[in-house]
Amino acid sequence: MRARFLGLMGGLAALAALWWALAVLVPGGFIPAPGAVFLRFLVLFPRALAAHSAASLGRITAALALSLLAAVPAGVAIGRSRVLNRVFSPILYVLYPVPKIALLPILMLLFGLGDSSKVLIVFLVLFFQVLVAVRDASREVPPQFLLSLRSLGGTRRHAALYVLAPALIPAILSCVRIGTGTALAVLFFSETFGTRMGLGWFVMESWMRMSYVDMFTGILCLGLLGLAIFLGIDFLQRRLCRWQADPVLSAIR
Amino acid sequence: MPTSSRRILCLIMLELSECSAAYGPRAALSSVSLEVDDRRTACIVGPSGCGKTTLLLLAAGLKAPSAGTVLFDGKRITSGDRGVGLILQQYGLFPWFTVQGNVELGLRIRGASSGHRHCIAAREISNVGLEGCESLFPRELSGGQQQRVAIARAYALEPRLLLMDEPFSALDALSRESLQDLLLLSAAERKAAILLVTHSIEEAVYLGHVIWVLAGSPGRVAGRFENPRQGSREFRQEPEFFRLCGDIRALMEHEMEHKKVK
Repeated sequence: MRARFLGLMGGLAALAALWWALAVLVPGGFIPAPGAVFLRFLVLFPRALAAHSAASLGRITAALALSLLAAVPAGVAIGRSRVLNRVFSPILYVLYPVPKIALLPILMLLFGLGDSSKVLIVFLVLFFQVLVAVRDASREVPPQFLLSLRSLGGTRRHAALYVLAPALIPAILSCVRIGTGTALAVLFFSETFGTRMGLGWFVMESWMRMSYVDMFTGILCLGLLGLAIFLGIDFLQRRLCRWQADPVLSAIR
Repeated sequence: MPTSSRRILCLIMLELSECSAAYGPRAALSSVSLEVDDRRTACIVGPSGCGKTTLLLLAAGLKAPSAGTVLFDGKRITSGDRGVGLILQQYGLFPWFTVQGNVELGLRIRGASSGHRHCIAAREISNVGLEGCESLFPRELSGGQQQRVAIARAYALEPRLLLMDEPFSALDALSRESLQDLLLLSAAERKAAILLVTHSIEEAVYLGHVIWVLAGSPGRVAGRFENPRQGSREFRQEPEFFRLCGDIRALMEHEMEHKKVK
């Protein structure tokens, strides 16, 4: 725990050093020094930034929860059934590569400019990633586990509970980890339309005012938001996947 | 004693009659008939690809034969019959459950109370000599220890027939021998019958009251050997042991030759 904390602090310090070097080296003063941004963060966070961060975090959490609720059962169904796989995989392969952000105008027409279209666009991004990951992982569950379970008297419900769920959780978590980056990018873009809440709006608005310190404060918040999500996923992985010897996790443990 | 009289006396625990099995268009077993007597150990030897594992899946009721019948205790076998325990290759342990969780799982599925589960698991874990390992995960155990957990898990449901697929093939010689003895002793204590698949002729002759030789692809029964002196350590050093091993090997080699000629 202590080592993990020290590692995190060390990483942040190195990042601040790199940032400071860029601030000094890049001419024109477009990149403010980390110290100035940090001070601004202390001033702005209690006033407005906390609310903007909360709005973004709320949207991304809602999208994440919805995508897991929808994509995990669908992925298991497609992965475990030959018929469903044959029907849905081609559809999936057409829809998956479509940049979901291109659908934002349509979503805004259908669901309005408010939160629902923003949650939906992030949902769409995560849904397909989770669907593909869960489909592949559930196809790869070794048959010996399911045979053993049946020999112990297990039904399909037991197989879902005692074999599929534990076997899929690592794949789901690492897919969410990968998807978070894209999700934040899409959320940022969607927040530049039709809202005055969220980090996307805050950053763009600061840019319009040519206030680079404010803009970087917003970017810092976006980074911290991502960090919070990653730490949450790592926490879940440590709790739920104790049985795995994960080299990545044991390195930061 | 002929099969018919043993059947009348209820000495037969498991009986496969003229069983065939296939995976899609590929036949795995062709008209296999064999029996396992109550409280006896039967071993199946044969080259890889002759359908040994398929045979165990039929015996466990996990795969339906394409022809023939599988009777357990005189009745048609059904999937998940509590009287039959199955230990697959690589032990089939669930890596996400601890030793305790693995051993308790069959009881949990059958809705046993947690107190009862705990009590049975403690008994079975101590029977295989793994006290103190209850909260470890399978990856933290050696191969021999994992096999012990698999045996404890199967025994927790008190089966009358234990099916095992190459249970000791991945172990070093010393662990293998101590586990073979543990298996014979515990089966005798519980009055359980065993059907064990192996590719080691020596293992089959040490463990099996009866040794069935499977050959060909799809597999069929090529021979049956009685072995009344199984399970004694001295027997392992005697000429009779080596003679029986030699006979079985000769039959298997003959079958291989036969296949080549065809």
